[in-house]
Amino acid sequence: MNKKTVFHGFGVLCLLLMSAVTLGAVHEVKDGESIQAAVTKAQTGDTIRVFPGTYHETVFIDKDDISLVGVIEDGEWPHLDGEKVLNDAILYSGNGFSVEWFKITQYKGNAIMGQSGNNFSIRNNWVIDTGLYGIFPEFGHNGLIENNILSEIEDAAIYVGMSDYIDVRNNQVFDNVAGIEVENSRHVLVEGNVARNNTGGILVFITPGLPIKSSYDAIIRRNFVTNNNTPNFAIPGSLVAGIPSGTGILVMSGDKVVIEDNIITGNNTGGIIVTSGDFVTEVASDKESDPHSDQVEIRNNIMFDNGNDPDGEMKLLMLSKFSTKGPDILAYQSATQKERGSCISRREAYRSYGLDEWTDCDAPTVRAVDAVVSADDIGTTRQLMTKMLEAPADPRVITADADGAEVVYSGICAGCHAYNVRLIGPPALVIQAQYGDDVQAVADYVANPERRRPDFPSMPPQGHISEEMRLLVAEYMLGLEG
Amino acid sequence: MRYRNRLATLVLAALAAGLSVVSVNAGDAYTQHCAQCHGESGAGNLELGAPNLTGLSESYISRQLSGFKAGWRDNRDLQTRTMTSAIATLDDNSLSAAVAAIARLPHQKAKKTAQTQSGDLARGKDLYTAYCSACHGTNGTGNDALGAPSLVGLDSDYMNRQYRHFVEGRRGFHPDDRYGKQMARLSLAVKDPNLIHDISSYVVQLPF
Repeated sequence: MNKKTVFHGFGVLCLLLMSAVTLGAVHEVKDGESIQAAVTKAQTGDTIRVFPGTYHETVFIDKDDISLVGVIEDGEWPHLDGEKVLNDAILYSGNGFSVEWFKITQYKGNAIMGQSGNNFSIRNNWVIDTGLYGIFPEFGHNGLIENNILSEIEDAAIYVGMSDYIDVRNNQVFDNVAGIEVENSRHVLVEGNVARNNTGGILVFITPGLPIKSSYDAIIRRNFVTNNNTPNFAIPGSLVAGIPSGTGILVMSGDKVVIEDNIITGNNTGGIIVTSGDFVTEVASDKESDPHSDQVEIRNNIMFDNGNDPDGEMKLLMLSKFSTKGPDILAYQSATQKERGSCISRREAYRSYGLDEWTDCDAPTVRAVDAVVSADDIGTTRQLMTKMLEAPADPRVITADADGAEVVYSGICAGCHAYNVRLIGPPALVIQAQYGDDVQAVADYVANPERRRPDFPSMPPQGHISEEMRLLVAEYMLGLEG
Repeated sequence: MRYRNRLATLVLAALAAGLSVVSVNAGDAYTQHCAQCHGESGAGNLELGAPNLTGLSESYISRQLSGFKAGWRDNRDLQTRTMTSAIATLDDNSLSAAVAAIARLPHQKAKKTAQTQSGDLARGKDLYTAYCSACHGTNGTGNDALGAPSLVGLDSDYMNRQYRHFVEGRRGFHPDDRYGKQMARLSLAVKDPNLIHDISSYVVQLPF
């Protein structure tokens, strides 16, 4: 057998493998039918095509390699409408899930939430007012969020939560509280997005009291971050309610964050704010989380017209620096310190505060020859095309034991419940005090929650999780120690 | 020492006045059994350590009164001893009449204490939001469904003292005091007890 034959044999094998993946069955869903019914019928590798029409439902996908594809005809979209009654439009826990071409409106919780599924792709969706979050992959590895349009979300429009190896590209987010949030996540590329008219445009931070304790290695590149001056309309008391209106980019406790080649204008509090964990809440008492923002690189951003009307406390802060205007760039609290190892290019170009101890970093001239794919590294991130993995991440497997319970807790519960910080739901600490060791009571409650806290949103029912797993997760939650 | 003696005299005098009349008329029940310490308006008395009752819900007050009767509110200090003996001779009808009367009292503002203004309000708000708001409400108005009393209108001395009692196991220790036990457990979440001053300073300025 010569070399060529081996190569051909390999090629045929590849084709066979590819067809095995791509030639799953195709299921069609028409107006008046149920998407969930098609998912129930589908098997791993199948595609579900959803035709224009209005669908009032929550779709759960716990199988692997399912593609949910909207079919648009003459500008008519398949429309998932929660009528402000349903909590979620699409919840997936399966691996290898794709969803594209849906219009999703009027849910109370999420448009598309990933609950620990790996290798996901969320593209071309049009999301309006789906409550707390728009697109929210939680606790997933290796995912793509691309070309989506999201508005009127009262927490984060795109929320990369406790997820690693994620690209967020080419989305448009506006009229939300937070445009794009990278929270307790690692290896994330946020590129080419338009984040405009939110309360805050793009945020990289750590929420203390979550199972994943760090947020590092994020590139925020080539985004348009403009006029993020919408008054904060988050639920009072929730963490994002503390974000000042007029914030372009906020880095809070994030490490190794590169902010490069963005256009950042018209943000009334400030263009870029780098600060530590106590910026939004002083209760950053997670001993496993480092509250400081280390190794932040701010390079080659176009910034003007920022800081025209700083919000609330930021106004007082600027007055203390003898300025009525907010800055293009503000390093605040511990972020000003030399030992944080942060740097700024062309510092003289910006109206900035707190950068005295930052070092200079390079923003080299990019010639035509430097821009091609094969060009040498000239000290920018332009050679880097993606933060996603070359080979898919191992599929997440949920076992019926304490390990599985940890995955379910991280993938579902931790989206709203931190240990000792108020996110969307009450902190785990409060639940522990309320229930003690009554695992059964918690497992029963989450299957059929009744609203008992008028100033908190309703808890969405989790009855789709087996009682065995609910008991395991309840035991995990009641045993958490921060 | 002199202060404590004076306090004891005041309390005993008030108590004696209360016990001298026995009646179960709703309006009168409060005047006769509670007003000596908590005041005609129900706004409380800082010197006696009697809290403002006017923000508290009917179910919370009647639960605590049964606690004093049943002995799961302790009686190791002057205030709790006074409460225990003040209601010892009252039958259930008189107690309900008093509770009903309290529920009708118009809201009274929290009394200002020496400490009130000294706390860090921003820190107090953060801590309150994280640890307290889930049960006592974002605005401090309490939640009967969870057995959490309103904190609005309470003075900071009273709140600090109750918090200390929870931490020290003097309140929320009894198996029958279900909600008190929850509070006792949560009180340990605030690691540095000095921070309770920040929290109570924040709470006293919350409006009804």
